[in-house]
Amino acid sequence: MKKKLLFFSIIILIVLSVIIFKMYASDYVADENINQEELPPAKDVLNVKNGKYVLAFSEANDTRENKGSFFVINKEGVYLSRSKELDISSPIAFKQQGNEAYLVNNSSNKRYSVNLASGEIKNIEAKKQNDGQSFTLYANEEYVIYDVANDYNKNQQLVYWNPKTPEDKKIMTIPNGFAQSIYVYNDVAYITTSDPDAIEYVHQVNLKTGKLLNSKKLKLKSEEYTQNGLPSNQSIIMFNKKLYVAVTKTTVIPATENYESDVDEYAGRLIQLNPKTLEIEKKLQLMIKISIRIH
Amino acid sequence: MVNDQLIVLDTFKQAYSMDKNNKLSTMKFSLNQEMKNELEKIDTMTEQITIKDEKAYIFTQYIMDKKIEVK
Repeated sequence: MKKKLLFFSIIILIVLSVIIFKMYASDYVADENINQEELPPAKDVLNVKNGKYVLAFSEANDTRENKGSFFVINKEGVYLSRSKELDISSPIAFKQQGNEAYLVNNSSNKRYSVNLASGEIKNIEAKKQNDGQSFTLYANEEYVIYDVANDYNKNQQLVYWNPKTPEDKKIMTIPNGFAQSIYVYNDVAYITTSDPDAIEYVHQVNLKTGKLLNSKKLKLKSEEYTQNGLPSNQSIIMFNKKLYVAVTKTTVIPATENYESDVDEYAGRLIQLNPKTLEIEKKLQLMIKISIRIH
Repeated sequence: MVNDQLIVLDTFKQAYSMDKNNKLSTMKFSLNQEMKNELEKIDTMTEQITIKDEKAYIFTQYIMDKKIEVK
């Protein structure tokens, strides 16, 4: 147990989310004058010329009040440009739509967009939204949508807008805990959530009217998913007119005298849902059980 | 989704593809030894995945093998 605590503490202390993102830039030209020992100076606007990727990352500490920045790198990983420090902390989703990329954090209430052609960075929060971080973000040609995680026992907000009219943001609420994943198809958003009792739900929302159309509890057995109630990189997608939700079960086998460290065993399933009724139609065993040893 | 198949990434050793008949197949990645060595390091975590066309750009990190005092 002590080893495990140390492991997670090290995670918190050293590493937090780093996000990589492909840019529109067509060809890159490596700038040999950039010294890798010294990062480029911090700027309000990113210089995206010759860039291949935009990254956003933060270095965590135990106060969780850390800052982060956007970086532009070329194909070889050379840092070409850096933004000033922003409220980027544990960035959890960074999605591109056209020339814009949208970033949300799970340890910061701030959210940003980066214009991949100009390098301009903007705040994207709605004026009247709650204070809270995000766990998921979705963007397509017609909608950008993110969650606002606030009081776990109350309904959670969703903020959404058309990427062509970012000044016109709408807010609605969904029940049953924090959002885990979002997928939008034909003006309907499908959202998975997990409530304080770690019960999984799927919701259907009409984004044109802002109305919740349907909510269903996902009837999963305890051996089919991990009941921690927290977002776990779940994903939802429409494929061949069916909805699919991926779930993972993690089992921790504690260390004994025979082996020195805990072992995490993973197994996964793909849950097929009817997009109209949200009822489960099939459960496809997906992941062959794997074991990962934890120090 | 890639080429009308649903692709599910698992570990760096494999992924799964599913066709419209729900037939699942296992896919193996072609990795050189240097890449395998990096990815096989204990505590390597995937931080983010971005898909563009047929390519998945996957960012991973691993924990440095360094003792840290935790208060």
